[in-house]
Amino acid sequence: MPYAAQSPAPAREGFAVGQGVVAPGPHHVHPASIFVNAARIIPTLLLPLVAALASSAPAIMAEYEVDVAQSWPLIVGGALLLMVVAQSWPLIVGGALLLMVVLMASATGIAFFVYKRFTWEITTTDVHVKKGIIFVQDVQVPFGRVQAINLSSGIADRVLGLANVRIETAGGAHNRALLIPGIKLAEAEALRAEIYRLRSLGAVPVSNAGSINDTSVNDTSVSSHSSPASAVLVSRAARTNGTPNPPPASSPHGPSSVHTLDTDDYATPALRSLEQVGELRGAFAQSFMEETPVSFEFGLSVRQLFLAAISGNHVWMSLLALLGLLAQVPALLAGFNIDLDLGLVTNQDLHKLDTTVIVTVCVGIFVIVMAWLLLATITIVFKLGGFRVRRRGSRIEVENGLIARQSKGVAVSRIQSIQVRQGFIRRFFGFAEVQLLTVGAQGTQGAQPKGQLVAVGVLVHPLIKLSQVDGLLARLLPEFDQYPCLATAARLPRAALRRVILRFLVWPGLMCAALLGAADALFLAHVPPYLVDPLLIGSWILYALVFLLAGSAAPFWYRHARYAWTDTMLLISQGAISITTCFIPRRKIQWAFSRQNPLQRQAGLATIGAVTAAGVGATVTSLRDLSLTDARAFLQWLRPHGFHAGEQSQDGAVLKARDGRNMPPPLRIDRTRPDS
Amino acid sequence: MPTEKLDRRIIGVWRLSALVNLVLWPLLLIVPLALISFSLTGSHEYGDQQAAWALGLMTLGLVVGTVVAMIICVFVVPALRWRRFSYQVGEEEIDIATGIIWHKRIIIPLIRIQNVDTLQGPLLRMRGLKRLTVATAAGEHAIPGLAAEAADALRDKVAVLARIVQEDV
Repeated sequence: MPYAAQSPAPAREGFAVGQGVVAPGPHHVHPASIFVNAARIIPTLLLPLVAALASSAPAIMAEYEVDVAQSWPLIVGGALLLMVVAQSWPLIVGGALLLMVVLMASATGIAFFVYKRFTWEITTTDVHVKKGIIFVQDVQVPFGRVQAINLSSGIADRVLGLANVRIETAGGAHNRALLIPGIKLAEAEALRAEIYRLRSLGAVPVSNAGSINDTSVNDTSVSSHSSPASAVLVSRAARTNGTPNPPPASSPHGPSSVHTLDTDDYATPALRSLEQVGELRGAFAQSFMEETPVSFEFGLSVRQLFLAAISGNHVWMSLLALLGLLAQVPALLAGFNIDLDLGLVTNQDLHKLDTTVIVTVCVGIFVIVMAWLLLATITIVFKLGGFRVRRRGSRIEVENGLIARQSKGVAVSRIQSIQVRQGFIRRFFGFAEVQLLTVGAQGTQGAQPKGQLVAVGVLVHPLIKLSQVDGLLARLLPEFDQYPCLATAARLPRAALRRVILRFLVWPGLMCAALLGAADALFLAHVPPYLVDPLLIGSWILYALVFLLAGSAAPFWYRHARYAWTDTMLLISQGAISITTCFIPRRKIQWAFSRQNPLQRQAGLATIGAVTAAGVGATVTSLRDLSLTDARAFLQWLRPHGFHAGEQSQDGAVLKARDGRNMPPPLRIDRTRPDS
Repeated sequence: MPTEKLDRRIIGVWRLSALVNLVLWPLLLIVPLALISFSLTGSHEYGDQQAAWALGLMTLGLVVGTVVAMIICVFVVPALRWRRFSYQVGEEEIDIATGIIWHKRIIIPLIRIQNVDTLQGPLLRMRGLKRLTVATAAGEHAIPGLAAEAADALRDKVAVLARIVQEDV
């Protein structure tokens, strides 16, 4: 591949859009922006001064024993009087003026250096910014990765006819946007239009997702582009300059809802604009919504709804509360008599507390818990009532709610991973819920107010037999083909069990020790001597119980930790009380890691992790204590071309992929273990 | 394992920045404590004498702690860190191995890279080095110390590769 010929990016000729012209070569921003920037800097310069004054004021007042609350009019008045009467006011005013001049000069000086060191440029392939006085930074953003370009101008900017251009890339909190502060408005608009134009020409993506009319499974490897194709398109874009294309019709809304994160999923620019229409979901989108056929649809039966409502986490939580209450009853009944006999309770009224009161209280608590249980159940019924999921074109729509009806839509291309959760109760009946995790954006999705996070998970099935999950996913999301099978996924090696138990014991152990230590130090001295031994024994029993619980959870975790991958999908499953299984498409993994601490190194184990852009910022899905060989195979699997010579998997089995390239072997089932 | 090493001069930068951090911040704590304890020794009240002793001991502890931390962070860690850090920019992925105690290996496919940049602070500039950062949609990774020209060349290479590499599976 002629990489060398491509670098550095070739310079481009100028182009003109509307009134604005973006000439080639590195540009400074508009010189007038120096003053705008200086105005922004002044408060920052003033801050230390104000802070110094504010911090010294109390000291001065304390020195002269001034009471601020009572004498503040005196202080202000006195200061004014001092200025006028003592005739030092020319000095003071002069000083203030001098201070202002110095401030403005230094702010302008700083702003000038900022201006001097800031250059921006668009080459044929990316936006290029150099900036910084002390920390010199040099940023390149390929057009293909540009998510949105926002123009903004403050009051000062508007007076001067300037605009700030924010070029945003994917990735929520982690990625800084590129800011070009203060260029002419026309130039800014031309820049925006040009970047969008170059992007739509350059970033012709590989068809991966089902196209809009055909949701059947596409063979992804057949339609893959050869790499230089896009480079050719880019240079064609460069040649057509001077005759600028108009920006896409939907540009006022479009760009902000294009997710370059997922460009590789869009088949054509046309599809992309349809996608934007879908995102908007306004009156305009109506015809689109109706035209596109529904390829798969399902709802909940009454029985499923009922089961979902009575098997939620609230049920076992309230059961736990009731059990706790039950355990208290004998202690309460017995406890009062003992305490009264020992004369510990001095309040004579307590003698009147007979068993009926205690029983009433207990019944009251019981009723409250039951009422809460009922309420929670009814809430779930109302929330999940009328639950419908539709696959329409490249979107999945979820509707739910009996009273407050809710409708959510998510573009398939935005789905980062699929989560199958088995709750504590549902697990024993073989039921799970299925959730789709998506990228959360900060208030970019229309109705959400700015700054609020968009929900990042979409529930697509609240109660499904574990055995039916594969079928559901295959029909709802056919483009994510080759789901790994949970039942045959690999398990952790035996050596991991010891580490799992250790890990489960360490934290509860430390917590218990800390709590017991604190309790001993603080309370034991105040307790009557005859109660010390029972208390100590009780706390040790508690200690042992916590240990036992934590320790017994460890083998469960060990048994349920699974991992597997196919050509296109990673599966990681873990959990002791409730089990979460994550399916992560390989092309949604932004980066991956393996990690070893010294103890793991000794045992030949490693932790793996796949990081997606789900949520806000990023989501790490990791699994601890795989064998090192498998951890290496996992990293190898993530490499775009899979299998390189030099790093062989342990069993050395090399499979041929469809296009003849060597692929890492799909994980085998370890049948040698007696308990699998 | 990845084959490329960082420029050796980065060890000096790490040493210097550790030194600056370990002198500056503890001094902010040590100096006032020492002053207070010193001023209290002049007092003849028993409580004050006790407080002076306690503060003096604290100061001493801080000084000792700082010196120990300095020896570790300035003389031991940077060299180890350099030895443990290696990277490789392949045709389709960046491969980084790092970590002294927790060995970590990171793979970043080039197709996932959103932007590439170099950064040069005052310490790095003194040694003619640059820091290369690649950002994905889920966080950034840095190759902290490269000779300035090498860093620029690598940045251009990564940027070019990130543009033209298409999804393959």
